[in-house]
Amino acid sequence: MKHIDIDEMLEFVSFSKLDGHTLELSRRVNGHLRTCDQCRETVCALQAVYDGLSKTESVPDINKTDPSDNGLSV
Amino acid sequence: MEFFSAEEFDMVFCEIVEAPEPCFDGLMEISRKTLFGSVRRWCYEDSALAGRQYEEDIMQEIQIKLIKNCVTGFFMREGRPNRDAEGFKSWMFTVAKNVKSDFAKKVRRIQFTEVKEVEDGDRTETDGGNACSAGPCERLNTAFQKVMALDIGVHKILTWVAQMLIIAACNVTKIRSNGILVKTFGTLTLDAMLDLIINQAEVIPWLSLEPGQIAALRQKLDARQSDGRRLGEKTYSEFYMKKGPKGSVSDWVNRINTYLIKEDGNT
Repeated sequence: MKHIDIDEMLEFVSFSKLDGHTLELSRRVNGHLRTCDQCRETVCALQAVYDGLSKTESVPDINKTDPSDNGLSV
Repeated sequence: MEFFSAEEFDMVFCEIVEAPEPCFDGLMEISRKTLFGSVRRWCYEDSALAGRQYEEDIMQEIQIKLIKNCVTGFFMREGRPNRDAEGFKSWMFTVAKNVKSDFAKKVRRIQFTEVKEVEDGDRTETDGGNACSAGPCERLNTAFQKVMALDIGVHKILTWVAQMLIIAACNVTKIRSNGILVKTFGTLTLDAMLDLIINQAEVIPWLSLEPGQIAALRQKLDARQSDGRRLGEKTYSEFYMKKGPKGSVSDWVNRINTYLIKEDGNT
């Protein structure tokens, strides 16, 4: 059985938008996880870590990526 | 509250666990049907989310979470297929509540950051001038005067001024104000936009919009375009760039802010 690549696992647990690519990724990864205990365990662990990080870290908004953009920072 | 039937759950189970390749159409359908009413109620009851139309954003985050976690978190959690429909409903609600709770925390964090910026004098909010100190208002008025005098596209000036007024009048974040700005002005002409801005500016005592400044803007709006129309007759949405309405608004405002910061010799 070919296991899921770690990069693919990371992308799977961390994506935040549903589009053609992430939907296809979800199909592929979930399809494998149905039958692979080992990958399921790894993905579970990654999900726990990622969920923990999401709770503690402020997620930057795309509109705030410009360091000079402080609202009406005048 | 509408829940899914046993048949619908069976369909979702088959699509995700038994089909040669998982499919999430059924999951999307029953999750919306089951959870959206609750999401709306939770938003209504949460002071950080109420009246801000976050329901769709939260619902989307919930569905993404369900897709990511349905196999590991429910259907194969014990290492064997789980066909417990009632348990699935409870699990979906738990996921949804957690997503909503995290979303609300995120919103509060952003609100807190922006309130702090106001306190630091980076940005000001006003209820008509009663609640803000002279310092930030004075600075904002100075910036306002500088922007009014800028030799740039009048739609950009109007955008910056309109956003400032929306933030002041509606007590909203800059990000949220982008959406309000687009909804409010998208279909209006620049002439109408200027009229609205003048009316709104009148209720802010510390903001001085001089007749000469208005005349200068009107003069710019009178300029004839290649299609024979006056500039003021063009609708605001005609100026949007390829990056879309909110992206355009954000870009124009950010450029002006960057200029102002440099001009100010500040940061």
